[in-house]
Amino acid sequence: MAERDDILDSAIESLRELPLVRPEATARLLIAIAAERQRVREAGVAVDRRGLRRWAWAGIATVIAASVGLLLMPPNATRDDRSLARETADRANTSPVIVASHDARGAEAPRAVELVFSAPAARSVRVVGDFNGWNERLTAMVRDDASGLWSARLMLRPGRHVYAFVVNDTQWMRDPRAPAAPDADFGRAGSVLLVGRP
Amino acid sequence: MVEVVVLLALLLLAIPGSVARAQDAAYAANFPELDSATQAALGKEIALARERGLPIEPLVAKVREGRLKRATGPRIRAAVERLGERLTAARDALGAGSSPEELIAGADAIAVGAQAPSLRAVRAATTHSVTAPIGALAQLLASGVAELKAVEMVISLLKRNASPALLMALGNQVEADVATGLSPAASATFRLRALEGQLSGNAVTTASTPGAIDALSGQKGGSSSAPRRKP
Repeated sequence: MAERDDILDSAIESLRELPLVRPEATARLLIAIAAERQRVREAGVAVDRRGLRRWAWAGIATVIAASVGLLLMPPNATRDDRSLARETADRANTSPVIVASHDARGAEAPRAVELVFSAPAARSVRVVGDFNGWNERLTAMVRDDASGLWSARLMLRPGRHVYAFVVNDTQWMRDPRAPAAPDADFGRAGSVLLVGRP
Repeated sequence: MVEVVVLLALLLLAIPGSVARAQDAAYAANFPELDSATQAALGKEIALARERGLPIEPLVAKVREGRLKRATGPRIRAAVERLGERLTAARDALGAGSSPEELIAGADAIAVGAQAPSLRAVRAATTHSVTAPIGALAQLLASGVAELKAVEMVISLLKRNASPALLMALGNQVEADVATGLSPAASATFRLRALEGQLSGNAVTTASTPGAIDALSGQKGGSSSAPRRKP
């Protein structure tokens, strides 16, 4: 019974991961079912074959349903869920370097851009912009203790980007060294960054 | 036995949809400082976009932007709704098979005044992605270049097999020129001529679209007075 619970737990674990059904999870489930069959066969234990078959069918149904479910999922869902997963991973390990993943300008190679901001008294400074989906958790700036300057190196694709700094997790600050980007939606301007200007 | 399997399969088939709905709600619930009515409305808007096959990441980004700017709930809702409408209009103009990046670029262009015929003309001018061309178009419009002129410039470069980087460079150059006081029309003419000179050795293999240009000439060209900025 304990082994069966393990199989059930494995199936539930796989379902929890939907819609990101990973091939390895599916394979694990099938291997667990096969291993269970083999174990029972080798031990020569009297088994309720009907019950085992039911578990096998349940496993197969799980795999089929998960596959069909993945196919029926809107393509955006999968993409966005992956984005969310990536964000979640990034949250755990914020880095001063970020590659623009939300860029809307094409397939040109990203270019290195270094942003510098003076805020000697700040406890933290982060960069937000259209290149990171305005997610303040993704791009932390690094403080240079000697100068009080904060910097972040970004890899951005050519084009026009709008960005700002978030100081101490709450304060929205434009880059005073860059042109303003007016904002009709919320009324607080950001700054313009032109990447790839010859 | 069969009934159990069928029930299980049906249950599992329903899971992805409910997971997606739960995630739509979760996206909105990621912003606990927003009131529950706003969260519910945003969850609904995101779910609607997902059902329509629109990219939802820009909508979520708009919520984040509004939250960072300490906008009120109703203002964030309105901004997200407008963005959803622009994405829909972009897809209508660019086609259902457009990539999320193309739709985002199209929505940006619409925000600064691009009309559907302009987007269609750019789409018809190339068999490649129109993300960069439409991004450049949006930048030219935002800089104050007249719409007809901007579309002609972009299509002219596409006909000469300009790379996405070159198209974006045009937008950047004109925006930088205008920021220093040059007139949008003068900058656009000068910069286009220079880039065409660079490309003069390239073969012209991209599909031409005289009809698209002609169709545009019947619409309002837009003024070249004040630069327009996307929201």
